[in-house]
Amino acid sequence: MAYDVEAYLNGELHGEALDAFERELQQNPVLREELAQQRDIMNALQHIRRRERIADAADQNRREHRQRRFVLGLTLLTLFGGLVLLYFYWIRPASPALPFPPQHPPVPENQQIPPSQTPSLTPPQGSPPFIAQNQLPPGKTTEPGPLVRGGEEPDIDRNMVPLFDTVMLQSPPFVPRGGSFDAVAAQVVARAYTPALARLQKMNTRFVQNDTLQYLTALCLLLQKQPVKASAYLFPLNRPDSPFREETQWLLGLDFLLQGKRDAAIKTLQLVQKNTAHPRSEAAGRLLDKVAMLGH
Amino acid sequence: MSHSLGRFLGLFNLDPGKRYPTNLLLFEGLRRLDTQAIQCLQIKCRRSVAYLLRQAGLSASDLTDDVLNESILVFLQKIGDSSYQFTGNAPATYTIEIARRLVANQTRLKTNQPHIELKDHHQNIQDDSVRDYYDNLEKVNLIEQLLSHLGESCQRLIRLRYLEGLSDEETVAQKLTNYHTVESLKVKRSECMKKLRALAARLHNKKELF
Repeated sequence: MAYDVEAYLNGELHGEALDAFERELQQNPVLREELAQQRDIMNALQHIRRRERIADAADQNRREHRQRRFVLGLTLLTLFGGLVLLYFYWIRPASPALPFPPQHPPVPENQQIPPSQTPSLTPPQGSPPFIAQNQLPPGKTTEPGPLVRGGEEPDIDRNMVPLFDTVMLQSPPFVPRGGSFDAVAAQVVARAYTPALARLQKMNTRFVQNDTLQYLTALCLLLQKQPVKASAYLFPLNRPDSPFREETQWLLGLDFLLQGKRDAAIKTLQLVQKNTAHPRSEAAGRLLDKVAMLGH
Repeated sequence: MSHSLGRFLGLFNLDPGKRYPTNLLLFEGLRRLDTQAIQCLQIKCRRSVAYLLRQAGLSASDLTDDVLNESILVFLQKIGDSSYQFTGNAPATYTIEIARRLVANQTRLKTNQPHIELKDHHQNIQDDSVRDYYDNLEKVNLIEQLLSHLGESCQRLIRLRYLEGLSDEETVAQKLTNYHTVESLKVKRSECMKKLRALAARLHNKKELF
């Protein structure tokens, strides 16, 4: 008769089966040996089970420890980020708003770049001098008042608006990028000029004013058909050491067109066209042709 | 979803004592071999074990986990064979006491008698549980080896019952094996056990371990 020692050790034998097993156990030394072996095996299995549970618990502890450290790190990072934001937006004193129009001190003579070293920026010999701020028509000033977001200026030359829009489509303006200006540049490209101007205004009060800021403000204003205000930002950029000088000359031509100052515009655009090294030389030639056609 | 949320919120439960607020609850959890109860005991004892190792001049970072887990294993063994009876004392205190003895073993092993076998060496400690633990280790290692010689089906049946702790009814209900009745499962496992005993007996003749 086969006896199930495993069932006996697991306490699964009852009644007559249990009695029979225990009787046999007393008489049968082989069964006793089997029982002892089975007990050893089951003890060893229990030991393995406990060891596996302990290893599982240790793994779980390590995992939870890592998760706790991650959550703690994330919390600290969020707190730090919050403090940085708090500092920049509420605690740090904002620099006073810059005057409008922007005032630039004249470049000292010893710091001016000699024309001989900037061939691409210098008009050819014999060409009329470039239009400067003091050449504005009498009675017109470059003080357009505070920035107006949205809306065109009332006294622009409406006949030139379609031409201006076409030129802007065919020869898109240069939009500088990088650093803090990425967001503004994206807004300008998306033609969201009003939010771009708002952002520039905020940057104006927070950061040191620079040429890029001036240029982007002028561009936004011009694209919003506010040429008078735009010119106030463009004139200071038309200096030999300005990185935006070439683009400024081109935009000034367009600016004069929108203002209805056709002669000044033609003069400026001719200057750009004659300078063959100027990147807008060809575009200026085409524009001059169109202006001439419109003039007839 | 609620399970994940519970786990996430559990991360903030930094005090392990909160999971098992009383010694009795912790003891019951350990008796059932709950992973969380073992985790709780590990967290409670870890610092003390590291301190013991430092005091003994042993490198705490390398040995803490080993000594801690061995101590818990000895303690669970004592709970399993009922040689430890709960009297209201903290299970962590008892575990740390076991760890103290194991550390003494390690110290002797490292400093005085590096060549001595653990089996002989622990005679001086006068602690049956630690001695039983070391005696049992060889058998356990042997059974682990023998299990790997059994077929995959047998290994799975034995693992489900004795290592995972599932009852035969649960195994059949969850369809974890090819056996659809409790009886057929028992018969098959009984055969596997016989095979395991036979393998052990064969080794017994060679090594006289059993």
